[in-house]
Amino acid sequence: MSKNNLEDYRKGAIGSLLDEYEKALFELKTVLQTVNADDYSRIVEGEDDHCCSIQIIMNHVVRAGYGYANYIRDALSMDSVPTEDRQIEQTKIGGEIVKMFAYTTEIFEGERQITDEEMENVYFKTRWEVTYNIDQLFEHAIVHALRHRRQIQKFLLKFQS
Amino acid sequence: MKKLEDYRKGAVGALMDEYERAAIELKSIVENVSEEEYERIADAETKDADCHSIQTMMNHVIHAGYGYANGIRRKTSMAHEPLGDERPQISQMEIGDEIDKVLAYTEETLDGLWEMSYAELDKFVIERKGDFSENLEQLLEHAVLHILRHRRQVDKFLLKFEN
Repeated sequence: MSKNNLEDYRKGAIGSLLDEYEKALFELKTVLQTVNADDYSRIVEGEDDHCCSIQIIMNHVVRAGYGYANYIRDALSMDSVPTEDRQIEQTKIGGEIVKMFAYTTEIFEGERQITDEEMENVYFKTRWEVTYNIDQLFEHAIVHALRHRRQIQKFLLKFQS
Repeated sequence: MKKLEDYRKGAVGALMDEYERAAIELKSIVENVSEEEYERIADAETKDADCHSIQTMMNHVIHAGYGYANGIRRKTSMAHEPLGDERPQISQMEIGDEIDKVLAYTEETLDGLWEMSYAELDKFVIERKGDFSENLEQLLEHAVLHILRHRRQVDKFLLKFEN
């Protein structure tokens, strides 16, 4: 997903993270577009319960995306909506990824200007007991999307064999 | 096209796979720029000496890649070459090989750690500058993003050159 114009790039360090998050999610969506309905819900033996089908992975990815955004919103005393477990149909997954990303970009595109200092110096502990600053959590969110895209690509290879 | 057996095992394996993927994407771009573009000053204004040209950026990316691996090697008491502050100047002709070498060095660093549990990853804390520290997962995530962000910057430089 290369950009054709310089003005399409977001500005600053935060902008580069948002651009790369958008790119990672675009690549994930591109892979999902190649998946047929049977494979989307097919259970993969030997995998953990929370990652045993593409559908379950994607429900988790969308929920986690809102969760990451909420950690940042809470740390910055911004309004947030509670995350919820949802079963997302394959036909809706592309739109749900777009909505989750928009919920993330809103943090940085509103009136409240988040500084680079806040990105590095606002720390919080997550549910999984790891302490992150905003920049680190953002990196985690991007790599989360990359890793689950990789996992789905592995599933698709398994289905072929 | 990657085969199932090409994927590394475990959480650290997944992070190394994505690190490698990001590095290969960057390599495919910088190997195809001309020498002139590679050395051309794209941002003379920046106060960050690493970001004047594709070459200075790539010198920095390679240096940082060894730095991340050495942080892990120090923690595991593995042999490593201390890095100085100077950035070796890497020519456009050499950059592809240098990316391969830093990937191989990182792979060697992580060999044996591929299937660490998340609890083990969290306890594997690497001290960085000042009082900043991070666990192994956070360090590798940062390493992946470091390459992705500089690839994006190279893409921007190339667009600037076209205008």
